[in-house]
Amino acid sequence: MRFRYRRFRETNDPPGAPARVKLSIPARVIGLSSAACLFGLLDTGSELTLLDKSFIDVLDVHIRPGDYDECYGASGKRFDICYGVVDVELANPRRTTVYRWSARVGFMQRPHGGGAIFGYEGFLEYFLVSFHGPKQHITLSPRKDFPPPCMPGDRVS
Amino acid sequence: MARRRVKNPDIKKAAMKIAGLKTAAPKKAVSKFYPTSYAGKWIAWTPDCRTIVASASSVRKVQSLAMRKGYPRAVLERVPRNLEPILGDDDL
Repeated sequence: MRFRYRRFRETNDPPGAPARVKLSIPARVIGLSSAACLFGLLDTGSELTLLDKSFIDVLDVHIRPGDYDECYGASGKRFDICYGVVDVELANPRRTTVYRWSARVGFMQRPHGGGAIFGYEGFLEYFLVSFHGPKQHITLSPRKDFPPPCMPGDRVS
Repeated sequence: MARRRVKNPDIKKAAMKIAGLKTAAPKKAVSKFYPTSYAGKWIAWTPDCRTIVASASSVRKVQSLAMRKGYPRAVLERVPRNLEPILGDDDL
């Protein structure tokens, strides 16, 4: 499954300025009552898959009492996360190939914005991932041992 | 007179040059622009991720706006307050 690097410019960038690159891909996250497609940064340095805390309500994710943790960013900054189980669905742009699995993901407040982070646990552990710098695309090859999806359906809120 | 469709792009380009016509400019890969008005907001992209169809301050709002516009599978994203490069999860 192949995704092109996302390239974009800011409106304030001068004309002719090089495009900025983002290594993020779209995936669908399915909760108990609804689902949402969202962009997530493929972060090989992150041990966890993280979503914005607002998705707990949007997807209706059950958070087990006490299932909280504290994590540290690359600079050593501490932040609190809580865990929940969702289904993650990854499809190629034409949706000819679709993979879906259940994953334990972390939820945290991201005050400065940014999308989801697709880290090792819950996402990258199921794939062989290669980043092709010169051609600017990402290839994900599944290892075929996805945990079975556990959410009731694929309804859209 | 039957028209034949020219499949070879080089022949087509040469024929258009002879006829004095300009070939269409190739599509640029860079098509994503984040207007500054989206900074800090949630936005919804069309499923092909080429067009922004809705923006709002919360996920729920942007999702319902996109659905109302006929995009139940819109791809959601939160635009950073500024577009500085991301260094791992250090922006958290």
